[in-house]
Amino acid sequence: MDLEKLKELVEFLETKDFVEVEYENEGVRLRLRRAEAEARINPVPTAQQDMPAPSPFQKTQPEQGEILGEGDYVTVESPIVGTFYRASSPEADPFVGDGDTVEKGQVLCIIEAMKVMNEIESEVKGRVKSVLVENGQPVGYGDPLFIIELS
Amino acid sequence: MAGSDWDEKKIKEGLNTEVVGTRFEIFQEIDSTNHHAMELASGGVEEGTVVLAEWQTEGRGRLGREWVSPSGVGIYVTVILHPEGGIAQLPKYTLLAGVAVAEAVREVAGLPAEIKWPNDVLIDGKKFCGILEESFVSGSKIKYVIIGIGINVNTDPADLPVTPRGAPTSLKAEKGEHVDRVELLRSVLQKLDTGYTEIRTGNGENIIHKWRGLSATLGHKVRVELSGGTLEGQAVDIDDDGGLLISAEGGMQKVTAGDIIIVNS
Repeated sequence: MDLEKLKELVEFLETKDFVEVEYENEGVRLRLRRAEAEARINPVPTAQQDMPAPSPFQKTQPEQGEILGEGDYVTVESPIVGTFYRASSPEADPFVGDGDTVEKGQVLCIIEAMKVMNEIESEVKGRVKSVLVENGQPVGYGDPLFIIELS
Repeated sequence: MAGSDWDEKKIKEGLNTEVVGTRFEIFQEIDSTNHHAMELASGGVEEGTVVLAEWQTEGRGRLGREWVSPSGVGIYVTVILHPEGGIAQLPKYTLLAGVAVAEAVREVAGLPAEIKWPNDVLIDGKKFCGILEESFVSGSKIKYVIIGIGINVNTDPADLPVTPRGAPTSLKAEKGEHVDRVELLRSVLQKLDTGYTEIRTGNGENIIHKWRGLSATLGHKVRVELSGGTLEGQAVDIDDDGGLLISAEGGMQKVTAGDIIIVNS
């Protein structure tokens, strides 16, 4: 199998929901597995997600047509695949911790992807109910990171 | 202290950019050009603003690592961009910075700079440049990307710390003569602008092509430390997301994180 073919196959698989694929032809055997497969298969408990949403914010128990208000909870989900950091450097204090109040636009965490340090901002005002991921852990697209109680 | 070469007028002579360099903020001394750029960006500064300093007192790299920035001999610069695309384009910015530095060094200093995946620019396996890119993400949108670049140009390597990742070098040390910092900076800015224009106009694959041509990784046996263990295999290619494709025992693996060690050369 030449490189072009292989690239085609990888590109095709990326448009699909496959996690792992085996291919055999004329004595060539190939197994492709997504790097983020584990993160996809084993979401952190409390995940309540049906479809990837355009926004990383989802209400924990969505009900059609309901307007979110004070006392409701939202889950902040990872918008990208990467490594989760709670602080700007190993010596720095975490951006937020359990029970902290957060403003809209405040930085919640950093997710490093391809060496870019991405600061993830809160899209809501509220109180951090729980931090769901350990510092330095890999996260996948849509993985729940924080639960925030709206205020 | 060495005299400053950083004169906005001089830098702009012959600079032909669309976005990068719309505005310059030049400092004799600053804590960190990235830190200042983040503040400017969150305050809504004009896209293409360039923050440049002769000396950084708290130059930093990823994960809070120190970047020693002696006065008057290096390039310490940060560029602020406000991309309109979504976060799916972010990996292109990783590759863009490495490509811009490697191309500029080849053109201006005539040295064979190469890129170790994803954006470590090296000469002969030695580090002379540090890149720190930071973005601010809201929902699925990028609010801004800042690209920070530190280059040891005419720096004496004896003034730089030896890290666990090896002894550093500078362009002067490699070339054996002084390298014009203004010319090099202008070239880096020019190439960042070209690449940014390509990404914005949907021609981001050009960055991938250029990256392949400058790669020190592809075709080599590599080892990657991942959270789940060590992966060893042949680095085959990068895909459109900038992920490294490694042919390993058990099949082809795509790597999007971790530090690559080149096992053979």
